[in-house]
Amino acid sequence: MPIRAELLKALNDETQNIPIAHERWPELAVELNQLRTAAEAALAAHDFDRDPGEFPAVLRSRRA
Amino acid sequence: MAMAQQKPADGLQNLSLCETAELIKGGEVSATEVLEACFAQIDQIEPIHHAFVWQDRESAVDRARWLDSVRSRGETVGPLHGVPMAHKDMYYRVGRVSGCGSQIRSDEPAKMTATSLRKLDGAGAIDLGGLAMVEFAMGPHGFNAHLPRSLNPWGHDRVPCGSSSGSGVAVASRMVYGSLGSDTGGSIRCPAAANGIVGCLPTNGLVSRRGAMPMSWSFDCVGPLTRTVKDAARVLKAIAGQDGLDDTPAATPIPDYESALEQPLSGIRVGIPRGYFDQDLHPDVQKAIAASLDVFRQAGATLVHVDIPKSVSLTSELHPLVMKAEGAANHRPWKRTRNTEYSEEVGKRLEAGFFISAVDYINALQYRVFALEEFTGAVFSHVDALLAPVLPIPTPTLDQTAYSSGPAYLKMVVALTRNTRPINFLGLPALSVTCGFTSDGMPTSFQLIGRPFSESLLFRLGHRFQMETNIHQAMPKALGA
Repeated sequence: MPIRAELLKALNDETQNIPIAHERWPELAVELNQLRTAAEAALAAHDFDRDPGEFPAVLRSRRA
Repeated sequence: MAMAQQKPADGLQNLSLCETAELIKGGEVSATEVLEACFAQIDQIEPIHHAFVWQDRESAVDRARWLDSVRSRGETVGPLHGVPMAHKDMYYRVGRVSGCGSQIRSDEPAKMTATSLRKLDGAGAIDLGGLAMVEFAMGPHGFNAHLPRSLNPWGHDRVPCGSSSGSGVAVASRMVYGSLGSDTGGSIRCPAAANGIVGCLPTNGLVSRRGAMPMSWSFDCVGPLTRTVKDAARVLKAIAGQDGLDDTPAATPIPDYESALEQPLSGIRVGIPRGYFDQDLHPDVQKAIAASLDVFRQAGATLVHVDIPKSVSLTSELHPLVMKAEGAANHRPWKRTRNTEYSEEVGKRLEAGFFISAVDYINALQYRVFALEEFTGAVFSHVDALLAPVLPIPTPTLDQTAYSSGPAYLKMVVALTRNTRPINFLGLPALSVTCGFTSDGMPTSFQLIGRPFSESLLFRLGHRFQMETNIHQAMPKALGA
């Protein structure tokens, strides 16, 4: 189910309290749905045992 | 491909950073004389181009005199002895204000000195001032509503790109010999490309970020913008390595990059990307890239086509998710209480980050590890370095990037970092080198992308390209080309 502007506004009112102009909510909903789509696509490669903190070690392991 | 007229070096300002450092070291010119030449250039260029936010000439003169006194004893402080530099206005020095291109930080003296500045001090550089940048480094085209517009010396109707806009303009305009920028999604490589100079994104973790304004902890990198690859190699050598104050720098030996520059390219495999980086290219950019590959082939490198993993496209889409979440977390107190002090453009750019779930954010970081393994496996098992355009399009005009919420503006902003932000996501090093000119006379660049910590090889390739082509000697129009 796509993220709706109303949900974002309610979340903001309850948790974030950032001053955001009324006309921005529909635009933000579009942007966040794009980011959510990317996040969902990443799950195809999800590895339960993968610690994001391993990134520097993997960088070092991949040097020439 | 239109070539700008080339002009022989005819004065201190046209010498490279390394050439200038060698003259000072050899006693042929003093640090004070070099600094005065910079001042003269700044006086001529800066009133129109607006690269500087501030200058501290008094401290610079004092420093130059001290360096000259050291030199008069037959000693030098380091490999940058007496070389005037200026940096993106986000590198802190105790007691000094670094505004970070913002109103919010415009009157707050720093409580620490950036490790990279300390290292440049230790290498003998002169810190001349703070350079213009996009507000809080959040934007690729170079415009900052709080500052006079920095102008691209190759064409005043073109963007200088950002966020290290002042660094690109100041170095290209020969006002300083080199500059520190920062690169979270392309903010060193894009202004280097737009201004016809060299930009180096080091491997994530090679250079300490201590005392540099944070934008996105996962992606931020400190690196140099210079006119030659050799200059970039010298500056990177000076700033790289552990500092004991920052967990970021990797425990890795820092090679003498300059000593490897002249090694032959035979046996080096340069990758021609098939997929992602070869898509949506403007014909002029495509032509310059093809010509560059020919240069490498003639210099002895082997060209190899290599398939780019499909995951690169997803890294490009996940990059803003991580960057915006981290940016929002850092800016939340100010966004709540000082929202009106942000420009409209940057203020809005931060907003989405407040609604990204922690789970999505962590999954994106998990994916980063997978993507790095996949990319290095798929690409660097076949080639030693990958060659891809920095900007897939000619440098845009000011009008094309004027802020609006319309689709054309959004498309342009996304296009500017299309080829650069995946590399930040992957944490790999990349070297941006000017490789020709689009038909409108604007410079265009390739980036050499390498394995983690392969900066030495990237410098070697980039240096050879500059020696073979001399494109880097072309002079921007505003300097009388």
